[in-house]
Amino acid sequence: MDINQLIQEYHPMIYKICRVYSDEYDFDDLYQEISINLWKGLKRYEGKSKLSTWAYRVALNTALTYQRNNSKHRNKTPLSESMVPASSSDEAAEKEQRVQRLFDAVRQLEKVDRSVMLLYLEEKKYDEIAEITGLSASNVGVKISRAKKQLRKLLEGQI
Amino acid sequence: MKEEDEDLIGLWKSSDQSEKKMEATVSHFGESYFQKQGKDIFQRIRRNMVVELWASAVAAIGFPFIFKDDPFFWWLTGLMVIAVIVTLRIYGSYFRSIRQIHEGSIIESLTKKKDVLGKYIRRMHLTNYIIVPLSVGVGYFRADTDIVLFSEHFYIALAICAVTSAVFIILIRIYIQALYGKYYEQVTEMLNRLE
Repeated sequence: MDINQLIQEYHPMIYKICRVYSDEYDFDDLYQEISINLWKGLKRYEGKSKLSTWAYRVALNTALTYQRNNSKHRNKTPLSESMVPASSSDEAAEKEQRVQRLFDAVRQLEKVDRSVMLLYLEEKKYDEIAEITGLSASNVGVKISRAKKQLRKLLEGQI
Repeated sequence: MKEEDEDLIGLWKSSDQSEKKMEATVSHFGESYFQKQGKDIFQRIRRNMVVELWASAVAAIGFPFIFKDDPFFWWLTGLMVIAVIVTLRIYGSYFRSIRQIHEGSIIESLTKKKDVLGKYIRRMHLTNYIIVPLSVGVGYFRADTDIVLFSEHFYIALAICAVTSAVFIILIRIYIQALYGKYYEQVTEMLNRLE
């Protein structure tokens, strides 16, 4: 698999991770950083874990410790205008708003909890979440339960 | 409760539909897009280390020649060569750690990041405490050795060196904390939350 295929394949994953971990100004930078790390890491990928597990690890590890460059905040279009696709109908627009509220709520969780929640929402099994995070499967369950409680509180009456 | 979860997952998954529209924009990424240098702190540390390696190589070659007429010239040259070899070995292990810093599980990656950052910060502090007073002292006393060393101005010169060194050390400490220290604390906090 070459890098363009990899990025095409994992574009939805990278897109969601960037939406959760970057603000409207450094979305592009984080997207590029993740892509570069996937490209560099792909040469060393040995197949010890599933490719998707490996890709999630690289992308989340990059996002978790990504530092925004404040000087770049000027002269950039906010995420809401540039990266969120325009919706064609009222129904689609409303749905996009609900999606946006969900992402906003996930963004309010602690950085580490965001990763666990993101993997849960991606419908990853506890074993795979454990493999990606390095936590035990039972600990994953506890963390997900706490994060879900917090997320529900944040979303109360919003979606 | 389960229904609520399914709603959330459904909503989350529905963002895939809108993302499909974005995929067209990905196909235009060329090789150059991926060949750019990463901007994260570890790439910055790696770049700093490459510069430091070059600087130490230049110092190793150049520094002993300041004392080329002194009897300890060859001893000094030998010491500098050893210092460069040790530096190369230490940096080699840093480069290997940095290359794979984002691979492995989140806990493994954070542990590695904490380790690399911690060592780098400690080394910067150590360099700060040794190099600053040494540079200020050598600079001051070599300027006019005979006059300064053997006059009543010696203690005044010593005091000036101490104050100048202290100011530089404090400023460099602030710089290290702002650039790397805060980041180290964040990584440690994330790791503590996971463990």
